[in-house]
Amino acid sequence: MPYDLLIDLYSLAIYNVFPLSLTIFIAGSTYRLFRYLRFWRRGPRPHFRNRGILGRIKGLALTFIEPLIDALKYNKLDLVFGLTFLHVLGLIPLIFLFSHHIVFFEYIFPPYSLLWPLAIPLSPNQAYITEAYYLRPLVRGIDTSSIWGPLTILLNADFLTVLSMAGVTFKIGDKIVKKMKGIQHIRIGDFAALILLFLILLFGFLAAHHLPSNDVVTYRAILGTHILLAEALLAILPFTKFWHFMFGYWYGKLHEWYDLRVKRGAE
Amino acid sequence: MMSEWSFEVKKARMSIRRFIRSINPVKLHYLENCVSCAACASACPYYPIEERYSPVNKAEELRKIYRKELTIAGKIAGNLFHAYEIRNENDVKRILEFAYRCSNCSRCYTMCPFGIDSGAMIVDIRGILLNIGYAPSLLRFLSDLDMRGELPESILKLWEETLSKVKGIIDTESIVERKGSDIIYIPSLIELVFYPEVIVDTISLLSKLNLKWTIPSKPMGLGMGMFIGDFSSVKTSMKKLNNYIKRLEIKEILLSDGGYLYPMLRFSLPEIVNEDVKYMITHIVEVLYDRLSMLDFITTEEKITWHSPCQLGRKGGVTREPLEILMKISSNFRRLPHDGLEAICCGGGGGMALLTREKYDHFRKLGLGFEVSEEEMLFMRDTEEAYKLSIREKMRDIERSGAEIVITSCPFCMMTLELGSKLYGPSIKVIHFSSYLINVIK
Repeated sequence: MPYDLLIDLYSLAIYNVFPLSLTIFIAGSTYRLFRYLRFWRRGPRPHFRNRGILGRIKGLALTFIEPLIDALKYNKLDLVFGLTFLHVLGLIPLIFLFSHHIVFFEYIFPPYSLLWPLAIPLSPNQAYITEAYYLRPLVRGIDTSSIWGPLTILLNADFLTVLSMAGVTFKIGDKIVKKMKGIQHIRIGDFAALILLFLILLFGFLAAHHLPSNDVVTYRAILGTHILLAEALLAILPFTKFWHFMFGYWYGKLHEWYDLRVKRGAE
Repeated sequence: MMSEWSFEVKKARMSIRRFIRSINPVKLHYLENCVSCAACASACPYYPIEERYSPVNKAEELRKIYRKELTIAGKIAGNLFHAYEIRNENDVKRILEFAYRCSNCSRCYTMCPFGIDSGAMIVDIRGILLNIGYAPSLLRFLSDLDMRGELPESILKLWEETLSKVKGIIDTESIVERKGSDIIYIPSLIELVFYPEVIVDTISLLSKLNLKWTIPSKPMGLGMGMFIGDFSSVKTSMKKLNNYIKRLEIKEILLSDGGYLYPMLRFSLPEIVNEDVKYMITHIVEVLYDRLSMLDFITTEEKITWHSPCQLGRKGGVTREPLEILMKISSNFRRLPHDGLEAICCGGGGGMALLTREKYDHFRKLGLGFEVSEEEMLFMRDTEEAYKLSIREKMRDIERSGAEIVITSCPFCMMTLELGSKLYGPSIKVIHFSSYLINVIK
């Protein structure tokens, strides 16, 4: 591939595509939220069953916790690979706390630097966030050692990426098996979303380790591809199942809490 | 009355448009925020029969319609985005099968990481099918009966017979529609037809409680359109009830039926009749719980348990009360491994318990006139088979508890648990809460 184009892929991702994908994301999110307002209508309400404030607070916690307990009882594999590897240990800390990402987010949104104390280093044998530190020309004089101490053996981007990729692979495999059984709720969009995630993780891993070669051209091409794919995800987020992370999960569980625990008083 | 099933594209389109008009933010959330994780699957009593009966897979039928109607991608490239219309009879039959493999228990609602109530979506699917012309004859018959409000002679006779059994306890003539009463006890039509003794026992309980109560002059079929998603029928019968209660100036409706009727009246009535409801809705369990300190029980060591009907417990919020009452009565109370919000559904809710040959015959013996086509007979045969298999999980739960007497309060649960005991064991006695309590209250 020509040198200029590869250089441009990175620049394109940082300076051109990002504002575009962010705009699509904001417009899409506004559209999705607007639809809820459009369908909203006020009506008379029933008498609520009063279980007291403590009962409601307990109910709120249980509303979020009980599906996890159910998953532990009935869907162990999905709990391990889907929720733990992919979400809790994988994507969430990786996206928001990986030191390289904090550098990027801080560049866009300076207050994000508040998360530096929780930053996760790249690898287990590098408990210092030195690499990220040198990428941070705007902020000086911070302690660059990881707050996580011995936990860094687990809380490092390399390990979390492997967990995430294992999680994505499991989900893809699970959906292939279900599709082969003729289960109709498995759709092309499910595969597209998971493959996109997998590619983002793969290119991120390659970029962070300067693979497949150490030269600047390849590095910028791989990192550019990683960022472009992540920006594609950002742009399609309001229109795909990724929306659950922004809205669906929170609205759904809060509504369930209101409906079952607050209104009906179920315990 | 014979309901032939036949497909018309025009009817399908109109039916779908009617559904689209009913969408509110909560339904919109159910329709568009599922991520297909299938965490809901093991919640469903019909899932162990076939994997495709998982709530997410059944509800996908409604999502396909929604995508076609209300999403840009679905309108432009339907197949690619899994957006479809109901195009022909084959589509309807596939959907019909899914629609009647659900007891609307809402266990999937609490197990879903996104709070999606697939059971509520199935009710909408049933409504779409009904408006195309497809619904089980018996359930349709009951819904129409409810809409018209005119009960056949045989039902009225049954009501008279039932009331005659309490004549030694109360003066039935003076109690009927008594002015100035605080409470009106309204038995359900299903209780009257299948468990009239529950009505007798509840009346006996009420007579012991020193309350100002009354009963209607004739039985009421209420909200039975819900079984087939017939919202017009539900609305009509609820409006009639609301006007009736307002005319009598009653403060409280009391139910002994802990099935679909309880949450419908308790929590959906204001929305259905579109006005604030001033009177309260209570269940006999709540009435006794509120007076627990005043009651004196004959204590026992019987191995009893409480089967929480999904509608009274999970969807009605009456979860703690029956346990506290029954634990006070028996020192050998066995709590089911899955109870309250976690309770395993018996599989008989949502009208499923009525979709058997035996129940059809039972109604026919009462002289209720409806006929079933051969096509429907085939559907019925498969549905009954699935219903019977759906009971297994619940029976295992009861077996694990070691209980010998299962107390509950929903007629569908009662008939389903009795059937489950016969089919799979353990050998148990199934009894309504009122019938058990009347024998242990001093």
